[in-house]
Amino acid sequence: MNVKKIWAGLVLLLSGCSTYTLVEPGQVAICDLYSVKPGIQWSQVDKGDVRLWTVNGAELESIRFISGIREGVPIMDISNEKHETSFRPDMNETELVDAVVDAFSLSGAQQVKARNLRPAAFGGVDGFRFELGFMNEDGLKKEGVVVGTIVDEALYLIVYTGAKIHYFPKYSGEFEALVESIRIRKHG
Amino acid sequence: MRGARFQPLAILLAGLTLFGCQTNPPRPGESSTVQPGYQPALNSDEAGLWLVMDKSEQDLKTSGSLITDEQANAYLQEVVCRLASDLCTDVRVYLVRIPYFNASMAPNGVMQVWSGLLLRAENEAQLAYILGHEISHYRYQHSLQMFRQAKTTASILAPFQVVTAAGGVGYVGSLAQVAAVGTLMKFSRDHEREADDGGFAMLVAAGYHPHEAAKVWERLQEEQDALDEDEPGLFLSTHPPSNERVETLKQSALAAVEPASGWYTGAERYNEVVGPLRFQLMRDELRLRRFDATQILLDRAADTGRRPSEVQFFQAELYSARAEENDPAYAESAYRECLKLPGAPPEAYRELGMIYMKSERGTQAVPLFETYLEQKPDAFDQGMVKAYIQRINSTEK
Repeated sequence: MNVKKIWAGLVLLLSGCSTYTLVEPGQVAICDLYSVKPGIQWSQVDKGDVRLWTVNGAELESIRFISGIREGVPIMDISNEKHETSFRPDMNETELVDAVVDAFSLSGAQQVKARNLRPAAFGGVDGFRFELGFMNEDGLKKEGVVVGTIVDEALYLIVYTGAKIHYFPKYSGEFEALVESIRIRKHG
Repeated sequence: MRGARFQPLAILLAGLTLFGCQTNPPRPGESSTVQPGYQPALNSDEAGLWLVMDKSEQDLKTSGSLITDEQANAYLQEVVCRLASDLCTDVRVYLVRIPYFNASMAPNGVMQVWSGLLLRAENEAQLAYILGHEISHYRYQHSLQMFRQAKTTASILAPFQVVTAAGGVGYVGSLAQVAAVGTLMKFSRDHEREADDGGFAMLVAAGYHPHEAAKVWERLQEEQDALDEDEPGLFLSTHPPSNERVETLKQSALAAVEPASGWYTGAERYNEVVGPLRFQLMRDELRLRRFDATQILLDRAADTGRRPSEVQFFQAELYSARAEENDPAYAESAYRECLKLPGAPPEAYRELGMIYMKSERGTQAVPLFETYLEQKPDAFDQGMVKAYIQRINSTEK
């Protein structure tokens, strides 16, 4: 058993009943809309419309692929609170940022602040991007990057978060390369 | 999350075990009173309880959930000192950013005031009534009594678990510190009565207007009634607002003897301190998407006549967030009204601009976006708003 498999096993143990699988470097289909090309091995778990990748555990760093969210569905669905904002196809980028910030706040994150919302290509289509800063409930400082797009009235987000010290910067380069690698599979 | 929430309780139980769990339940009706500078005896079960609460207090300090505004924190402590000068340094107030109405008291003197309380109290007297009530829980050591009366592990946990039956649990469920500081406790009816009496006595002795006490309960009940929820809010679940409670307070207020200087309500001072926080407090309130309750708060705020542009802005934000059938039109109208008022938030320009942009009135949106960028040059979304302007201008050409 190699070291990576031991890590994957540990992640599995720490994550309770979720079933993690390994994602190898190379082209990976995320959803009907697009694929990406990771440069390293990730541990992956699927939860409904959300696919989560991590190396050391979701609390330390994770990439969430939120795909094909339709009207009336909670955008992030990460809190216990029943009042999370649901998606509407006519939402503008600022409203989407508010919804993401609200969802993080409702899930227990503290002092959630969005920075630098701007247009950014998502594969070959128009999209947006912003950064996040917040603390978890134990006061651990975390950073985040969110990229997203709305295609055919459905929302697609990729949310990268991690502990500000060590973990977030360690995988930032890999995340940026991943975003660069987005390949739209079908559109329109 | 659930595990995290009750982990401190496990430590507490271990602490009580280590200290031998001396259980000497007080006789019915007996209540002890702490003296200034009170510290429990080192070999007592109470010392074990304090040990855990002190640790939790340290966690609370670094949790990131505190509102650190110096003026607001100093003000809360000032009100505590006005109410109970003898316990001024023993009771330590923490202002926690949670948009529900709640205040609570831990056995070691840690008082939490949640930001939703600051948004809802209308003046210093109403705030003082709640703080006085909580100080009384400390003065009469109610939480210690609850622990000593508990006969089994399950019943030791029971006072904490009231939170699971209350509305708002999702928001606070992840805040281990909140539960850890022992503050989501449901006291017995006798304890509540004693805290009501003690709090009210402090209120009157400090010269606060006694009629404001009953108003707190009436306002909370009005809000609760507006919600289509079977479960009461957190504070109401731990402090049931019975008719008897309200009536007793009203009768006590009528019997209170007015000081020569007159009663003090403290509305001006309260708004001086809380006013600058209101924008953020209202944002947090809207986040809960309890629109009917928020509407009541907006109506009350409009009645005071204070900060009308801010009230109008959040009225528009409510319509915008609710997004029901006629809400987009209402939102547009409310943003327009807001922009006619002095001191309109820069965001009102952006939001109205967004409405115009969505409804293909781009040329009307551009000047609004430009004003927004002028008024908020460090806006987090300036890159996006500049792109909107560019897009509209290129389409118009």
